[in-house]
Amino acid sequence: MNSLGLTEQQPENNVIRIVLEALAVTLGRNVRARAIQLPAWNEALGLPRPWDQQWSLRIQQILALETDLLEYPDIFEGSKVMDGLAAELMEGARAEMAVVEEHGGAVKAVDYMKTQLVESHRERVARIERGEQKVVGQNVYTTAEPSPLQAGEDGGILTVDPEVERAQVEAVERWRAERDEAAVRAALAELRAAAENESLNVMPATLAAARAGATTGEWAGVLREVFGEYRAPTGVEGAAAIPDDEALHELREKVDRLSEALGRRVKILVGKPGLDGHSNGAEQIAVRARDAGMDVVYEGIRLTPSRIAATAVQEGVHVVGLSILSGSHRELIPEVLRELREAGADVPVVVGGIIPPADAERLMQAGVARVYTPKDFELTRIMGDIVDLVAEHHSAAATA
Amino acid sequence: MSAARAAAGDPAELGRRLRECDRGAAPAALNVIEDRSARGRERTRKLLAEVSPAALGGEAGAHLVGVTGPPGAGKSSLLSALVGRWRELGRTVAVLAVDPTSRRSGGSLLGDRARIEHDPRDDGVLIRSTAAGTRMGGLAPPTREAVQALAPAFDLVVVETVGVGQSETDVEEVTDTVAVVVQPASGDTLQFLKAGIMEVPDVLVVTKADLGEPALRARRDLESALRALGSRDTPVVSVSSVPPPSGIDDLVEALDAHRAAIDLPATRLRARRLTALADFLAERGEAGLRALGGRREAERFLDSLHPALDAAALVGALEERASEEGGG
Repeated sequence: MNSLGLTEQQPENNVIRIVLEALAVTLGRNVRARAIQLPAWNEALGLPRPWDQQWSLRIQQILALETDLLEYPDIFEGSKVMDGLAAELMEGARAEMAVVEEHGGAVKAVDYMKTQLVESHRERVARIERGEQKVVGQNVYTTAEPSPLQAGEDGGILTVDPEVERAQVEAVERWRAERDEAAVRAALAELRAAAENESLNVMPATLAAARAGATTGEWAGVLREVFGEYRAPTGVEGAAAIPDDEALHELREKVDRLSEALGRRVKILVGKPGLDGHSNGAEQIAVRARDAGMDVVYEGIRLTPSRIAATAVQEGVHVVGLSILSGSHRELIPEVLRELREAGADVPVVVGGIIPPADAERLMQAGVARVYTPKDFELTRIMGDIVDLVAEHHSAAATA
Repeated sequence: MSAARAAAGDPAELGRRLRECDRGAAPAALNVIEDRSARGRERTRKLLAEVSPAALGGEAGAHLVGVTGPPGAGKSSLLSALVGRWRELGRTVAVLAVDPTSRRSGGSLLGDRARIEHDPRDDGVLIRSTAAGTRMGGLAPPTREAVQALAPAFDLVVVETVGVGQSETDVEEVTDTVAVVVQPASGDTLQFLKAGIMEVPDVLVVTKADLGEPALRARRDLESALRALGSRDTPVVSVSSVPPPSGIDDLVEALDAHRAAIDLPATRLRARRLTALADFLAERGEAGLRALGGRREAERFLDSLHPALDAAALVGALEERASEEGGG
């Protein structure tokens, strides 16, 4: 189940949201999910600890063992309301499948499907921003008592010891030092030969490489060299512009004025470092920046810090926005900053994602100009903030 | 640090560095060229003067290549394979990707870069994206000037644009060789060629050769259309960008062969003059052109100027002339 609906504000309410989500996929026996994995209450704050995951697991177990949910046939059978809703859903799904068919099948329609995903999320975000879709604690009933769940020393989330990474690196190095290097080279050469020959199965060569002690990275590296690397479509280019409202109109004028002062249009790089594929935030920021009148460079997910820095320099952007939800911001963001400095890019960097307050402070000290977290859901306001930042940076540079 | 940065921002210094093949100066030079403020234009003038034929002692050695074609034809994938091959051959490449996004809101999403595979640590590849702006498919003056600024520092300068028909004209004006990229079963290009809406390109590329028969048929159709138009020599190259790519070497060869056959000084001279005219027109509009006595008269005036002048100097001459004419 996804954690899209979870809020950073009043995070205890997420437990109720998670229970409701779980009910939605378990109540009707005929449509019951075969397996569910529930998110944890604090996933909009950071990584869940074992205790948080235990809590989510218990939700399922209570549902299964303390209720009579599993004892009856489908309780919605014969319900006109449910039948109507299901029919509506089926109709929508069939219409959507017909469009995919028209594109020539799912593979050919990847671009279309990704664009639709970005588009529907864009609509959702805009509805929440305008207050049309109510989210308790976020855009209604926002006054709150401090949450004791977050009062602990860890702020209610898992903090990963940087030592873990070092230990992992050492383990891989030790592994490589102790294996039969010649055998690994030979196995990887076999793998390459199999990959290059269309009539050969790569699986036996893969198993042989694994047994010889090749790492996953080496295995993937060989396949990447043969097959190339797939960069998925970002879906942002096809996203429709949001309807004009006053705030956006004002923002656009601000962008225009700044662009005049800069001599060229305000240009932003939206970068997504690290291995998490949670691209919703980056995509929405990219689309809104375009709607605000900026030139936007967005290259998709899983970028290395060096690629982000090279792009920032080559594209001559005025500001870099990094989106990260993997929890590795403490390592990756400073690395991007260092790469940017080394590449000679003097641009402000803002970060958005699931960043605990203590980490946010650390990132600001490291040179990040702003940190945005899920509680900052008003994209137009964030954009205004970023424009101000570029303007400040520009006038500071001009007078320096 | 601040001294280094001041030097990096000095337009004449940037121009000198480009002249000496220092590719690290390219991004900052493009920042200067894209700056359309009065100050920016003055800085551009200083920069371009350093890479003028007079300063270089001849024409820049780069091969200036235009890659254009309808949306979805596979230009970015082709460029991805082409850039890879050029790098294997040890050639440095700058790609100016002009995005067709219309500026509904003034902004645009520049996505081409993501589709061109390259090693970010390789300083032999530069990719710069710009929005086409209000002129659909056309080239904005900064793109034209960028081609000239980068020409001394890279082995290849590629301008990638989207479009069929009018947009090739712009690309053709600023490059040595134009490759039009089409995908199989795109009858438009064939029709446009036959109807004369589209100029015969220097090289025609049919993508998606991995489709087999449709790609072969497209190639045959284009070849017979070219024969009918009397362009027997225009190469039609079939390529596939799906790994393992095919036809890329043939394309590299076809592009090289075209470059070897043209009158380079004449091509470049014309590019500079038309760039100057486009820049002047963007700044001063039709009224400015009238002050020069119309387009033809303006071109005649440009033809009378020294061939070693850079585009910015030519713009200066046009402006001077316009104010003289306006005053008189």
